Amino acid sequence: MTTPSTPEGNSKGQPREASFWAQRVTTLKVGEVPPGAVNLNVDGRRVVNPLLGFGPLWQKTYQVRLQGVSVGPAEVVSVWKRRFPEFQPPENRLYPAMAGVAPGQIVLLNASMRGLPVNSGLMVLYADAESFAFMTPEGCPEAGWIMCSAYDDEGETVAQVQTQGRSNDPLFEFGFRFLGGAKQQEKIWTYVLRRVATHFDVDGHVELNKVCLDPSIRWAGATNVWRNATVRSVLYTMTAPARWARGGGGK
Amino acid sequence: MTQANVTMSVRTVTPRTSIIDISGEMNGFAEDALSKAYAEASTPTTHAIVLNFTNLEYMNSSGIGLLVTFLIRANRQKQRLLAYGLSEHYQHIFELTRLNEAIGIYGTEAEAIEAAGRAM
Repeated sequence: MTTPSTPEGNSKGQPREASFWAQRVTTLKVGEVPPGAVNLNVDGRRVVNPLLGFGPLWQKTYQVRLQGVSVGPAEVVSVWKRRFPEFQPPENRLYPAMAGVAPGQIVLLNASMRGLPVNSGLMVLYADAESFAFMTPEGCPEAGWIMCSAYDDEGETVAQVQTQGRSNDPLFEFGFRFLGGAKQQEKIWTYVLRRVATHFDVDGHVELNKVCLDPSIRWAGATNVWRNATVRSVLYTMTAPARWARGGGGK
Repeated sequence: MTQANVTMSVRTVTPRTSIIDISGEMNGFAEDALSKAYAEASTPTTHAIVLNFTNLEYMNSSGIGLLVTFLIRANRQKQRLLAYGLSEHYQHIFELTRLNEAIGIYGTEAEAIEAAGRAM
């Protein structure tokens, strides 16, 4: 859960959280690509909410209590935003734009799922002092959002990641169910919260609560497979020599 | 933990349509209020639930997450979800998150009720 932030800085007549939301976009456009990042499967893609994918819809809530330290939710989220890529496991490299985790910014994702590349990205949907949220683009393994936050619970700060998502297409659904993809994702967010806790010198235990909100398959999402980021990333890798030969430098 | 700062009241406008008037803040702390409102609004004859956002003062990403949960719940009961009273800002949020593709958005209560009736 997230708490509202101090209201300030919005235009007259606008709700106080208006500036925390990304601007409305039809398709994503990556600005400057951070050094070392692969910009693939993001430009021109639309964002997809948890209703638009293929597989069952899961809500997973990960929490760690920052026991024994005096640190407030805003400080936790400030550090978390700033060091977001560092808190990821090695196989999940994230490249925020220069502006960092700010509303509307794109964070490029160069990950590996069971040894296969996944080059995609995330759009920062919302960011305030005590929370930030990402929304995924078409082709990403999951359709949905990732909400990171911290809140005070009886004098202790709790850091939380909540994901709402369903696999984007049948191939990803197969990977999540039978190739350990779902477990890998759970390991990623558990790792992230442990790193957050470790940063504040807390040896925290991460609790995971998962609920299947909708067990049905959304067959209309089967055609999303044409934008599958893993398939496209593999093809991109396989054709790298040809691009080098043409003088493209593999970019 | 911070308390919810939201009130939700339910009106049954026809045996098949209920309206939930939302007033205050839609964030993660609104979960219980929304759940109770749904339980009250959803009867065996309810085919459509209309959310009145006229007095919505604040909504963050957790609030949007709650709406998805609410929508899934309604759809599983074969109920349609509609909304009205969204300010321009919140209409943009619905478009940004593409929730407007799943929740029918209307300008007024009368339009929403008429649309709810047409869908049956």
